[in-house]
Amino acid sequence: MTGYRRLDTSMRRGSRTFSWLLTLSICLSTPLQAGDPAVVAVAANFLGTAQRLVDDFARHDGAEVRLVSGSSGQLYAQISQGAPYDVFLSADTARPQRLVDAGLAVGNAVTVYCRGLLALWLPNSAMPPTLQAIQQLSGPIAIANPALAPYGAAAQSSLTQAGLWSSLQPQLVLAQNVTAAHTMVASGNAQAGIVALTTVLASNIDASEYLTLEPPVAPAVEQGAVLLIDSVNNATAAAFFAYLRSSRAQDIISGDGYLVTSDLDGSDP
Amino acid sequence: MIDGAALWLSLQLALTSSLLLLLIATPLAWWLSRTRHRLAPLVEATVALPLVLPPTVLGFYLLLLFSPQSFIGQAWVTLTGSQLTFSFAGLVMASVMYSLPFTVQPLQVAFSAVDRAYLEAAATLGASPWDRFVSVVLPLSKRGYLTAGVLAFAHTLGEFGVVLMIGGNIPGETRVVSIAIYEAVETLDYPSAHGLSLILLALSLLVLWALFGGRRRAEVREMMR
Repeated sequence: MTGYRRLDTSMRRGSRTFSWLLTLSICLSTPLQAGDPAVVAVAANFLGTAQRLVDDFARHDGAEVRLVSGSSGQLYAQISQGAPYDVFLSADTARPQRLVDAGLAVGNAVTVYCRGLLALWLPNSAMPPTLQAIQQLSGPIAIANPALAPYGAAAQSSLTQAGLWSSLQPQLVLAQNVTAAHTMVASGNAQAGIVALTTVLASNIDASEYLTLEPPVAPAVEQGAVLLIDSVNNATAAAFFAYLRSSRAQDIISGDGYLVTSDLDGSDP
Repeated sequence: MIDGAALWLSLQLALTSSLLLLLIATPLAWWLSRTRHRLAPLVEATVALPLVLPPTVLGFYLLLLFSPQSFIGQAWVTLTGSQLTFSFAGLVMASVMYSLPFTVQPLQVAFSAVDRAYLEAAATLGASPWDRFVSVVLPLSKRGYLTAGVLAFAHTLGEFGVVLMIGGNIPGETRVVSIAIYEAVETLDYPSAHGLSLILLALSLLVLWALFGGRRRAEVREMMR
């Protein structure tokens, strides 16, 4: 009998622990403010900036936004299969446009929330970083895969414009995204790379080691956002989507090295 | 469009890596199965480590390890004149590290199951240690070798995360089939992705089927004896 009683006590203790944990988890998961939280799917290259936007948004508007990051292609595939995201911040405009065309996004146009610039990064070299200087390198040169990453496509177009695309072919190594191209250069595996200016700025690279490739030397990468159709009634999602084009948000975005686009799509909300 | 070169490269990588793995894993597994050295558990744990690290994380550290700025990467450049990352040789080395536990463990289990009495009998008949290993241990461990080879081959064939980090997507050199499938998915080219995946799956199924069929027949033969 004592055995039973002991078991009973330990079970009771277990269930008390369980309910305590349940209460704790409910407390932790309940947002501090009322209103539905919004889930924003963000292209990995913009995650750092998106986190700053979400923090600023929460400070001023008091609403909770959660971020989910991945490659634009992965996020697109998830959204078209019904992933429960409210806003999609892509690294390109083609994928959000496809969602618009498929009727999965609100409205009939993609909002360009920022334009990303490329930088030519040539570390540990006596030569100043120029497109002509990398012709003299013999080692690997990293860019993002033009087929996968908009920053790779922009890098390809800058190399094509400079007449270097075919001559550099044997040396080009393709990373799955622009951040991975940065890692290849940073780890010394590639002698030079065409990477995102924002990453170069965030890693405090010495100004003598990189050259910003501004239009028309390289196209800027337009990054597009859409509000997804199932979230049309989510007030937080709509507010965050509008906030992206506010001057407060655009200041944060340009502070990270992007060109801002408020001038492109007209008015500030 | 089906990327035949990527499929062929994956097969070459899987075959080269599994052969190398069987060569490397044999002495290691033999030592682990016989030794009472106090460091043996540590060696076993180290061999198992690639199971713990996510492949892209492992790939990231291999990127640092194989870099021409590191000791190993520098030594490779000095020896061969070419860089280890973004090369087929680099992928083979990475695959060997990545699939080592899958090869060592089945061999170690097989070697441990070899009855010492057979070895002692062979020794009294004057067989040298090498002769004992080749004539007694190897035939008795056939099934372990089959499992180890199959696992190493299959695991390398489907390898993705590590190659993604250290490959550089060079056609005919480092662009393996998993990378080609990934690229097709990411560029929304689902027909190519489905085609390549189907071929990869069918091919793997055939290889595994043939090997497991062979193993079953060997078992039956042993029972009849």
